[in-house]
Parts: sequence; structure tokens; C-alpha cells
Amino acid sequence: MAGSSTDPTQQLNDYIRTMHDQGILDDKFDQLLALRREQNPRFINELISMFTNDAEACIAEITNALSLTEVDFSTIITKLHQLKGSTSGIGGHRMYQACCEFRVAAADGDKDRCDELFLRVKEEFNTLKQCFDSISEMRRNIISNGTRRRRRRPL
Amino acid sequence: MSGNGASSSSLNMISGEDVVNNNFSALVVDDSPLLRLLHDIHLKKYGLKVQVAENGKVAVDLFHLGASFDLVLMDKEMPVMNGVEATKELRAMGVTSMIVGVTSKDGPGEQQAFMEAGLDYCFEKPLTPEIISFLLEELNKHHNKD
Repeated sequence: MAGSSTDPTQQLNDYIRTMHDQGILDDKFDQLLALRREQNPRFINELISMFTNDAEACIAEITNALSLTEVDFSTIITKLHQLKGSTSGIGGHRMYQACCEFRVAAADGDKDRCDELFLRVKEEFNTLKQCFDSISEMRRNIISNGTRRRRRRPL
Repeated sequence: MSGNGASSSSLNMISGEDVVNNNFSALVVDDSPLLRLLHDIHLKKYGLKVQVAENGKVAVDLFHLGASFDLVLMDKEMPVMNGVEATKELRAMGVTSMIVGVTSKDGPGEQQAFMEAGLDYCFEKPLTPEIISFLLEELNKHHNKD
């Protein structure tokens, strides 16, 4: 990364910018960060946790629906709608696009294409989770650095 | 985005101070817990009193029980009763609240069908602060007319 900084806040900003450049995150995530300042410090982590739990439940139900002898496309479409909504809300751009493509295949009743695109959705979900894990780690460093600096200040 | 003449250039932001001092109430109707939470937080930030409902039937039942809201954010695709059906039912009941559809990136035909159910506006989800600000401006205008 050009011009990398040792300042933890700058590192976090640079990382988020990289995630934007790669299309992993979009501006909806930035809007959540802006909300965070007015909410409790754990707000973003709670939201990410809610998204992850929601997404994992949807993925499990889609896996089940796809594995049936008579594929349950109706359930797949319903769960995809939910997954699309929460992914869009959290700012997971590439995962959202993967869900949209999968939805088209499900609406067409194309099992082979569904299998292929579901794999992509799961890959993008894993990428997004790793991204959120990195952001959480960086934010923890920022908070602990801030705490150490406050402790060093003379009374 | 579609609505009664609404366009991106007409989304004038009003100041935070103007919008916090309001007595408006809102109902967020969405089957996604995350989107219900996000819209709840966004709307409360602008001073609205917010309730949530997980599908169209819950929303319609609230109105049947005598609840009233200045603003309804209505998701389109929901189990039990979707946004199109719920909006039609609310308008048939005589509900005059501002009903704003929130949808995924649907084709223009699908948004049009949702608008024809009785929406005042339809936007892509999740709503941004700019759009919420615009909706409050519209609520203020209607409130001042009454």
C-alpha cells in the first residue's frame, strides 16, 4: 500500500479505502461508521455480529433447499431476498452483487447455475467476514492505544 | 427513486436542529432484523418515535388496532403479507400516512407496481440520511398544510 502509515487510525482508513477499491465494501458501510459515533462503542461490532448470524442462517437454509431432490427454489428466493437486504445494509457490495446473480438463476430454476453462484456467494461472505475481522482488530488497537495515551498523561 | 416529482436534485437537506424537534412517528416494516435496526436508528437520530413490524400483516394489524403513524417505511418483499398487499390494504382502510416503499435494486416495472399500490415515494434500501431528511421536509410541509 503506497504511503502506508504507522498511525493506527490512518491504517484503518487506508484499509477501508482498499476494501472500497476492491469493491468489497461500499458507501453504506461508511454511513454505519458515521452512525457509530453517536451510538455506543460496540455498535459496529453488534451490527456485524447480527449480519454474520443472519447470513449464516440464510446460507444454511439455502444449502438445505439446494440439496433436496426437488430443489426448493421458492425458499432459496425468499432467503436470498433476506440475505441481499442485510448485505446491502452492511455495505457488502461484492457479496450483494453475487446474491443478485444467484437470485436470477434461482428465479430461472437453473440448478447448475445456482450451485455455481451459491459457491461465489459463500466465497464473498468469507471475504467480507475476514474484512470485518480485520477492521474489528484495528479498531481494538486504536481503542487500546487511546487508553494507553490517556494513562500516560500527567494528572 | 420515484415519487411525486422527487429527484436527486430536489433532495434538499434540512439542518439537524430543524428535524430533531418534531413529534412525528414512524413504522418500519421489514422482515430483515438488521434493516429494521438500521432504519430505527436513522429515524430516531432525526427525533422520530419509531415502532417496527416484521411483515405487512403485523403493520396492517397495528392500524386495525387504532395505531397511527405519520410515516411508514414499507419493504416490498416480505413473508406472510408483502409490501404491495399491505400498502393496498392500508389505503383501502383509509390510512393517509406517508407510505414510503423501500426496495432492492428492482426493475422499473416492479417499482411502478409498488407505487401504484398507493405509495407516496419509493427508494432503494437502506435509506440514506439525505433521503430521511427529504422525507421529514415533506412531512413538515403536509403537517403545516393541515
